[in-house]
Amino acid sequence: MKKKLALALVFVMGLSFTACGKTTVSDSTNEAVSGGVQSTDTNEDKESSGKSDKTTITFINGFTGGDGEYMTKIVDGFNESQSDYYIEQLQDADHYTKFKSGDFDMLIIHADWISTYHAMGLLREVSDIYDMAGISFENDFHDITKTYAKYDDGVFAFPLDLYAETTFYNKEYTDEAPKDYNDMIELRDKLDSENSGIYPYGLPLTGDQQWAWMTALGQCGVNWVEDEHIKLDTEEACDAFMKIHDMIYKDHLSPAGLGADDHFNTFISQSETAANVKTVVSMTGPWKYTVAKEVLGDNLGIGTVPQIYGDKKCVPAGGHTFGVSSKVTDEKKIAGIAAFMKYTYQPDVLLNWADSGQAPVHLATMEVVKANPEKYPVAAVNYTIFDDAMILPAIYNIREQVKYVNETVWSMVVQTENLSRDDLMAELKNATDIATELSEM
Amino acid sequence: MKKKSTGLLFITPFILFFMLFWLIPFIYGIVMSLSKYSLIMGNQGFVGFSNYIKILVGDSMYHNSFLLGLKNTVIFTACTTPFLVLGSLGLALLLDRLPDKCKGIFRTIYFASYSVSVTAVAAVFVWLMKGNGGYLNNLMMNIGIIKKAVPWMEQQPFVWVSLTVATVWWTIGYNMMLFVNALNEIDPQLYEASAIDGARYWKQFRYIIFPGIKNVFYFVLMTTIIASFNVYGQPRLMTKGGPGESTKPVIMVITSTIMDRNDLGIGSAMTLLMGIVIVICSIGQYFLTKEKEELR
Repeated sequence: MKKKLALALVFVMGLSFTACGKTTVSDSTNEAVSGGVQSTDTNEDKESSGKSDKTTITFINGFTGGDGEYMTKIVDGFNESQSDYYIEQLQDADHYTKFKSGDFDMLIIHADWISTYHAMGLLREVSDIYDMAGISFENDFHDITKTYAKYDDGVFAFPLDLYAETTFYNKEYTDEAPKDYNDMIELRDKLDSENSGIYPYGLPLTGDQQWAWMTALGQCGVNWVEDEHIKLDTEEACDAFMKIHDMIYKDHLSPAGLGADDHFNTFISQSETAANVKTVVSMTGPWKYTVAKEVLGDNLGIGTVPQIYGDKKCVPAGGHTFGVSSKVTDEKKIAGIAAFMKYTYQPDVLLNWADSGQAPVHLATMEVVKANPEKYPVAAVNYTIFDDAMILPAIYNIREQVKYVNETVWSMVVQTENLSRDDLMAELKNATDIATELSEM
Repeated sequence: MKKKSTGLLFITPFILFFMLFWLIPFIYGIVMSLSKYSLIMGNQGFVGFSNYIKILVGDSMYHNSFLLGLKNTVIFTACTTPFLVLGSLGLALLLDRLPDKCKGIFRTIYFASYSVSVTAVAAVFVWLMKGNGGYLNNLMMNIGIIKKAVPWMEQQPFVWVSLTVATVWWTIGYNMMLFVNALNEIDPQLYEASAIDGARYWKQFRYIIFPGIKNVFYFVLMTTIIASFNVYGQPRLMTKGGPGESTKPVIMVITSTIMDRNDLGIGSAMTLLMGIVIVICSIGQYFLTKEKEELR
């Protein structure tokens, strides 16, 4: 009996060793990645064990929403067309963390992340892949892509699209989108906002708030970058933030006390209860088009961002790009990535991406989209502002640098009725200090 | 000799897993906290106590964010612990006095919330407590209790109320079950004897019930404080640490330091410092309890 028990225990132990063995392999891979020493052996093992006949290229992206299926369509189309290469796609909301700590050959990277990933040495210079794919970075893409994909030491991304802040409006209350601050005031008076609970616009606690303050800074012509960090402790920046504050507490263009994503929730709200406020205009990303259309139907209007803060034309924007990991050295994989790019950057294929509501920046595809504004209404509107688009500055750690502004400064601006310039300036100085510290990391 | 080897075999899996998943990571965490360690660049060398100094002294962003996170965590612990300990004790006492037929039903009802995932709890409470269009505000406005929406999820101190209510609703059932089991252990004859002596409920609670469940009470208190210190899901999903950073707990600060700022060294040091704070709390509580016993 004891012998049997001992045998059983040895068996359990054996199993645990096996399990640990697997963990160790995975751990060592992660360690190698985090240590910046990419083991190509691991990739080769994966190839030989998984798709022995094809070269596998691992690709991670964060398209977990509605646009995910359109990217999958492109990937599937490529895989079906290929006998030599296979794109293994993973869609994960936390794809940046997984890319940093994992083992992927290619990723979708936002335009404003490229500078940071470039500085950290995570991205491969891809001029040779452009050449192999027969694509020209200089001639085949909109000029704005040069502000975020090209650096002194080369090109580090394949631009996919640009998404700009888009104005959606409810035609039930206004025939056209407001064009400036006066239009907003007129709309407020027409709506009798304070009594009806229907306001022209909504400034939320969170949700696209970065675009809201970028619009204010940009339209006021504030220069808010110094060296490698953001600089907001200036009178001009303070004025711009105070204008946002005044929209709520002085001119009542937006209701006070809105919560997360209420700039859009109040826009599509169907509630008839007087207790719930509504808004007529929503400035948000083009990805909200489908939901807005579903709720408002023919009452949905699309326009560009109005000049509400100043005279300078400026529309905050972002973009998706393909990036290649700096660890990719295998010639076969490089050839496979080039084949994928060659396939993707054909108007017929890239139109799949336009179908998702995004606005491709590939010039040939842009022409097709522009010729069909009925089919691609959001992209068509977005193309009209590409020249005025403002993407977060291409400096190191920029997303972390603006975090304090998005969280603390913003909540102070939209929540404090009696906001003093001194209090605001103190927080803007904190934001600048943190950004400076982050830029030096 | 045979017995010894069998015994060794029995404890080997535990020791193995303990070492692999606790001891080695723990020691590795200490090493990382003493190093300049990036999530991307790996270990860039030993830096002594520099990470700890950055967190504890000076005016760096790490110092400010850690202290803010710690302050928020303490506020959360102070808000929730009384309800989770005394509230669950109250529920258990209430259940204890119910007829036997009803006990099981109510025990299940109160415990059911504990089986719901934090994601679902957060989603439900955001829907309930949202300032504009939230169920609670609409209800109170329709009844006429309030004229203006209360910013339950948007402004302090209301956001703490929302987080407390959600947390208490979610986890009170677990503590209650521990108290219910402790109450079941008390000899019913003690109640009968005290009743004959004319003891009312309060006297029974003071001299029979509480001494009988004292150990469980202190256990629940300690585990609740530790769990509150480790809070993450509710503020992450309900408020994203806002408004501003007013509900960002230490764990969220640590996650952000490691995942967003790629700084495993500072993140590990923060984790160990937080562990030390929890250990100090637990030791303090142990001595407080001990003192009471000696006084008695």
